[in-house]
Amino acid sequence: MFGADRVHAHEQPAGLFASQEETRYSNRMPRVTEETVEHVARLARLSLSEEERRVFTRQLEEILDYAESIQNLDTTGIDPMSHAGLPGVLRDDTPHDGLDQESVLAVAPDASEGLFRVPRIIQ
Amino acid sequence: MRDWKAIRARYEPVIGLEVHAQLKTATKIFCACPNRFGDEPNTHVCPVCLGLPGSLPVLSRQAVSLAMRAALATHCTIQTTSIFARKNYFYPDLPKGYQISQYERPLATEGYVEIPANEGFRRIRVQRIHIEEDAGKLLHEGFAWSNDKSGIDFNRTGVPLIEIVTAPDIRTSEEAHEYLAALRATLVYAEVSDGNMEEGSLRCDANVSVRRSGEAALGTRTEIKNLNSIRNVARAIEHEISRQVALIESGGDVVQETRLWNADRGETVSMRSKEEAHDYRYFPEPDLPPLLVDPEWIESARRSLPELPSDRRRRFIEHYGIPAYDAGVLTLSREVADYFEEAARASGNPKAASNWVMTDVLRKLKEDTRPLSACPVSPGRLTEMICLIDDGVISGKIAKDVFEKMWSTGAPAGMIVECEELTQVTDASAIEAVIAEIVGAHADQVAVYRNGKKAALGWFVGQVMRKTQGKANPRLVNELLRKALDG
Ligand SMILES: [Zn+2]
Repeated sequence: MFGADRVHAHEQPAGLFASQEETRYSNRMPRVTEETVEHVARLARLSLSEEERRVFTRQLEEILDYAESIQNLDTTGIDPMSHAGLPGVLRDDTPHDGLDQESVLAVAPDASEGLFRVPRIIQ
Repeated sequence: MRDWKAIRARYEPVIGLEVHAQLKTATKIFCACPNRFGDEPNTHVCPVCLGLPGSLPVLSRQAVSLAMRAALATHCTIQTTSIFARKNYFYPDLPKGYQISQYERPLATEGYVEIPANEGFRRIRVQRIHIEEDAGKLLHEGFAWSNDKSGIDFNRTGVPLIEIVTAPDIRTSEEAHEYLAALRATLVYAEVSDGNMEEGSLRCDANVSVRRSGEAALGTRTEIKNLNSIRNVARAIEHEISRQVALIESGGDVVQETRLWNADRGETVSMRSKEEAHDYRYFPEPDLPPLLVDPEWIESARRSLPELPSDRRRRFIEHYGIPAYDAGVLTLSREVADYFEEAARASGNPKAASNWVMTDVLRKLKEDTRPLSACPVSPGRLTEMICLIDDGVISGKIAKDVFEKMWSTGAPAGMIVECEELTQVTDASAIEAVIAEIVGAHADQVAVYRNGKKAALGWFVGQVMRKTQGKANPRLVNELLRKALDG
């Protein structure tokens, strides 16, 4: 095993969300804090007003509470399942033309010379 | 003045590499758009690879087959169940706002790549290989509007990639270079990827840290990106090691961060903007079922693998008796290895074939910047020339000229030798006549030789060769000269 020197490896899984770490602790403690909401909002490039932050913090907490009712089910002996549906659907390696450039760029807010355009992202 | 080399020697670098390789499929990984480089921008795109609402990804079977070949070629264990995951981040080259990758359960784990070490091999462990999709290409320069806008071409979005992650087993920039050369050769042999770093079909990030020699704990690492050639990987690592050692020696601390290699300035530069974006919030990709591969599929991938460079290298050493270094150079490219092997077999003289390929064919190709496929001297032609030498028709020295003429004209060696009257003089009486003439005209040199300065023989050999325009058989010249001078 390579476990001992994993420091350099690809980022190791810490749980599906960073904030889920907190959810494993006491039921009484709020799992979603305003800081969590602010962090997630920043990652999603959303800017929230103070009021929105308060509302979303409470709502997210309620969603987790609701989802937690599932935790009360006895799942002894049941394999974890992350996906519904049957595996094994694969595609042949045969190319087909996609969309034409003109109609692709027609949906872009800004385009020129065949390219999508965004505000310059490196200085 | 402190001795930098001595300071540097007190530290041990610890290096791990993450290599992304584009797979040589005809289509993208999750849609049927062509996987093709160099066409008009945004002409190989569809709702799936543009991430339009309502579209769903369907995995390409061939992408999985190629990824499995890469895994088997690097001696990894293929996991019969692997799971796709979303890596979430916002950047304009990623239309969906997430990259489909694999995270907790990658396709393959725990293999190795062999690199040359002393006269043998050393294993660099591969921790994992996973499948993921490529992002689009950003264009920051070259347009009238480049001052305030960036352009995006999504043709590359969704091109299948594998990421190959090593354990922190690499200790020097030279080893990093060897690893990349060996890995590239392996992927190209296995026809998994075309391995072109300059065009971006092979990309490398390096994780670098240093620790005082003898210490077990790892130092803080930095990740270096933007390494677009094997040479730049080695240069960037060397620079980063020095930077970290100098920082620690001056009492500072290495900060865990991503740094960009600037090849023009020859240094790594901090890339602060990306630091806080390292929270990717991975979760299982709900649009794709787990990838299941059965043992039969794995076996057929194994059977489809050709002989790999490390095996071929070993075979060349054992079977043809050529030096390990030569075998390493000859097997880096499959075409070169095929070329050598054809000439080695046909001529029955592998050592000569190896020498000619290593010193002449590869040198001329490099001078002309041509690929081997455009080589004017075929293995068959080289074989004819080697046979002319082995049969004593031409000397090794004349052969160098013949080779140059073969290269420039494409004519066979035999024809050049005949037209230019280069056939070796093996007629003893003809050589004796020349020797007699020279010995007669240079009594002083004869005296020098007879007074015990045997090295003077070389002078006489030179004279005879000059007189015969290099065509006299050197072995015969030596033998007859000794007889004339000693007798
Ligand atoms: Zn597409």
